[in-house]
Amino acid sequence: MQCFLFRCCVGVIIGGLLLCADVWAQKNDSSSYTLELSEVSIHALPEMKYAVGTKLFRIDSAYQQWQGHQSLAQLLSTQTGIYFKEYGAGMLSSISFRGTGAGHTAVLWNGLAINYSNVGQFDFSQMPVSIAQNIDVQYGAAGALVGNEAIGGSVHIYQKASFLEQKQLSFRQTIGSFGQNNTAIQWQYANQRWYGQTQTYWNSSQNNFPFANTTQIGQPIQHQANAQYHNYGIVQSIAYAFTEKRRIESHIWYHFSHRHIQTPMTNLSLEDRQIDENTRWTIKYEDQIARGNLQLQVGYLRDYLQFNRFSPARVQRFLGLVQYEKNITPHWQFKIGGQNYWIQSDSPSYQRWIGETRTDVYAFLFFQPSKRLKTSFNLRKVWVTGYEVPFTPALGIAYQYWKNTKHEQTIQASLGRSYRVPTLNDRYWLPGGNIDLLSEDSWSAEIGWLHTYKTSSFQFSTQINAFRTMAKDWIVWLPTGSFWSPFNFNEVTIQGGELALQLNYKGKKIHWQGAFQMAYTQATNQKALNAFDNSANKQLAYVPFYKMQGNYMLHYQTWSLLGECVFTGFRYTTTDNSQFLPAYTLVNLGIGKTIRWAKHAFQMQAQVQNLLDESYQTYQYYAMPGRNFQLSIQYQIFSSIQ
Amino acid sequence: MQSFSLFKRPLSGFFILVLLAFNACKQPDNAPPITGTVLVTNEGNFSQGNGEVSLLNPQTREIANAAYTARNGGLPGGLVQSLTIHNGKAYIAVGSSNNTNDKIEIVEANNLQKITSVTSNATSKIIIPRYAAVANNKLYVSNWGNYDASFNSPNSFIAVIDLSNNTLIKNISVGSRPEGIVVVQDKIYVANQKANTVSIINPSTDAVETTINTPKNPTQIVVDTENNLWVMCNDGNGKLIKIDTKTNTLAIEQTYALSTFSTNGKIGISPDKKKIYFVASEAFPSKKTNIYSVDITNFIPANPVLFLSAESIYGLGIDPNDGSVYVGFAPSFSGAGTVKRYQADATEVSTHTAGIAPNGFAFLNQ
Repeated sequence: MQCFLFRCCVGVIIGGLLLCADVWAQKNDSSSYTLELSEVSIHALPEMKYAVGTKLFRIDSAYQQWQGHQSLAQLLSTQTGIYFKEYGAGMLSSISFRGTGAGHTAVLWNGLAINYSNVGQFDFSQMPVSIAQNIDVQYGAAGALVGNEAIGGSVHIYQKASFLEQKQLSFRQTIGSFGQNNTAIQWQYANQRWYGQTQTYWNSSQNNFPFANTTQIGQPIQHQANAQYHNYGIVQSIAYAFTEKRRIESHIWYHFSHRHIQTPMTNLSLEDRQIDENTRWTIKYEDQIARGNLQLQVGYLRDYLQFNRFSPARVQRFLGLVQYEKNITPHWQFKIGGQNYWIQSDSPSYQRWIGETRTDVYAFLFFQPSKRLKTSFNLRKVWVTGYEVPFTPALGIAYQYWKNTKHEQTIQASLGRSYRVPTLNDRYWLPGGNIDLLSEDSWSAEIGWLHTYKTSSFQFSTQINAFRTMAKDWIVWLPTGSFWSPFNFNEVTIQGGELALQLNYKGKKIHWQGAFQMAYTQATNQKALNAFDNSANKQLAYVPFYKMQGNYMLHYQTWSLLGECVFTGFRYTTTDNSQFLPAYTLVNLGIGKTIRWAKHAFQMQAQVQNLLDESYQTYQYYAMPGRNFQLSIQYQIFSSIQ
Repeated sequence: MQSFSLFKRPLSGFFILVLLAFNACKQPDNAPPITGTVLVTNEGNFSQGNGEVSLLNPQTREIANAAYTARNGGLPGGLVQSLTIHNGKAYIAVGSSNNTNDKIEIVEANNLQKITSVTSNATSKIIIPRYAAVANNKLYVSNWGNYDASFNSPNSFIAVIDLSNNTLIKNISVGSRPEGIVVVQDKIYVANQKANTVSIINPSTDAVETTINTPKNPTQIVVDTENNLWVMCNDGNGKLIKIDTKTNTLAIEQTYALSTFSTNGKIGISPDKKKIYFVASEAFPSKKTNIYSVDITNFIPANPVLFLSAESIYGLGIDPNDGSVYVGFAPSFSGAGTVKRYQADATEVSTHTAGIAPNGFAFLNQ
């Protein structure tokens, strides 16, 4: 703790010094520090109206623009209390949200569930921030509202068509230490009828950073081997508005990734490689029917994964979705819908063609008896080929008990059930796959308190949340006879609390955004595998008890300054808590300058990551880079009516 | 005054000194050796390559885990498959997930101080090393060799290390997937699990002399007082076979009608060589594994007697001095395992938290 405070102080002092230097170079051009944000109106996902009582967090678009060269894993781990288990730099990044496992967070891209169905998790290193236009993070269980795998929380990434006249072209180039290169080009066009956006990206790195090999005799400094990667892709969005209420939109994302799998410190001679190729395509149609809003959506997802030269695993999914939403009175609103995923796979591990359907029907109700009281009641029922998932209900309430011109205070609570369907590997792997598995089942409860203080230039908010999740039937692979097989075995209780402070000051010359978050998570395994297993009543592996982060962004005239400090407490690496990885603190600093001229904007950024050169691992034996640098330039040409 | 007389009468003094000297050589009769340290091999997690060695003191009942790192400041560097003690040195077979870092780590047996490691060289390889035995001051290590495209092991061999200079000198081709290896009467016997054979190697020529066909899946070998080999096989049912090393023929083939039998090959023999212990897992969906003992007093195996039934039994070792049965339990590959020591009558003596996946034991005398 002392160590953390000390290091934060170091970070702040260095940041402050840079600021002083900055102030000398004064200019009189106010609020021209950012580039045009392609999104003009900012509003959360419409579904989130029904998430009453749960915590929502929207990644600030200014941060997003700064960190456009990062992966979603890097951005979320500095901006939220979420822990990522990274199998090296730029490698598989498994999420651990509120103490849950990698498969316990639903990830939706434009409404498509993009967790890979064979393993039931998403690799957060495979989404560049530059293409994630809107990122909403919903904390806590949302089985009823979001569906499968929303136990620890859910992450929603979506493009929003905006029919405001604009044309914009932007180019971003980042170079960094260890051969890092990130290129992104974005083009956007909109008028009252049409909206089009094309985004392409190319990311690569030699990733041959030096590290102290703590597993070898003498702890020699070595260079990371076999960790180079490149990925590229394109996102194409087109929308057409027939009328104000009737529109159709299409979003396609193609992603290709080739990476050498970073070697663990224990064996630097490995030469494994992996190719991922993902295609996601969705078309949505919205219309006004009987004074309600009808939405039709179809989707197609294809995940291809090839490890070394083994036969590739291929999974295809087709989605069909219908939902209808209506305001009955100003106080009542409901949404009903149904969706179906058809899943097929010819993965060599299953040794046969397999097909599965997952059908959901759901109903959400939002009731606001007064301006101050909001409630929601959601229900979902799911059928999967061969079995049924129990009903998942959710209830939420929020009461704003105090409000005046400057202050608002709200208390909220939610209760809900959530589930996780066994993955294709769990059900069909040969040998061992267990077709009789049930879905993982959990109940979660949460209470929260929110306070906002707002003046014309100043905004400060405090949010405190406490949660508890009781989960059972978590799937674990256990040895049986001559092979391993999955069972609905583990019981886990997770409880914790979060504190989030946000500050926003917008003066005449200065715009200051700051945030501090603290998360405490106690995730306890309730059940030993057998008499010789010491994992009962122990903290789950790779769940830190403490994670804290502070960040600020300061804009002064055409200058911007960024500071981030993330403290991650020790994490056990074994289920019996016999080994752990020590706590670490990452400090990142950045400075940027924007020059505008007519319809052109030019921005330069310099960043140092891991300023303190901390040696750390998020997954045991996988080295992470020490101090490293990035330089970015962005050029934008635009014409818009605002 | 008597002491003076010793000097005055030198002859009798000399006589007494001779007597004393004679007595000095006298030892108590049949002083049994005492096990000072049990070296526990903890296999570790396959993808993490974090195998380790624990040192267990059976007298004080204390265990020192991660003892290799404690001594040397780094990990052995892979999966710790087995450990063989010879002349105060321990030879640790270390595998790696891609088999390019496979090696034999040579350490001092008493404190694990690293001496050297032996890896593949231009002419001879170490690829998936399994178990080892010593003959003619040479270490013979069974190696699966590289997998082919369908994960078979067609190029298995025995790696020969000259212990005078710790150099890898030769690979001797044997049947697919050699496992247990023993030395009897200056001959090396190795069970080739996938080839269903036992190869006999002459250490003076380092060539295979004879190959004996066995039932399916011969894995580990123990030797009785008359130099018969006892090999655990599994052709759907468990099979214990006896090979007479005088004639090198299959003398007995005993099938055990344990309906759910499948062996992981671990085997041990009591100090008096009259009782064989082996590990057998129950069939799916049972998660249990059993240890049985078989009496071979008359060199004919009796029916197996259940010694222990539990989940996650992984390693087995019999103390050659006091006959204690050491069992390694591996409930997972992501958490510490447990070692339990039992008396020969299955009474539990002690429990110790070990490293990840304790798979075997080696015994060092005080």
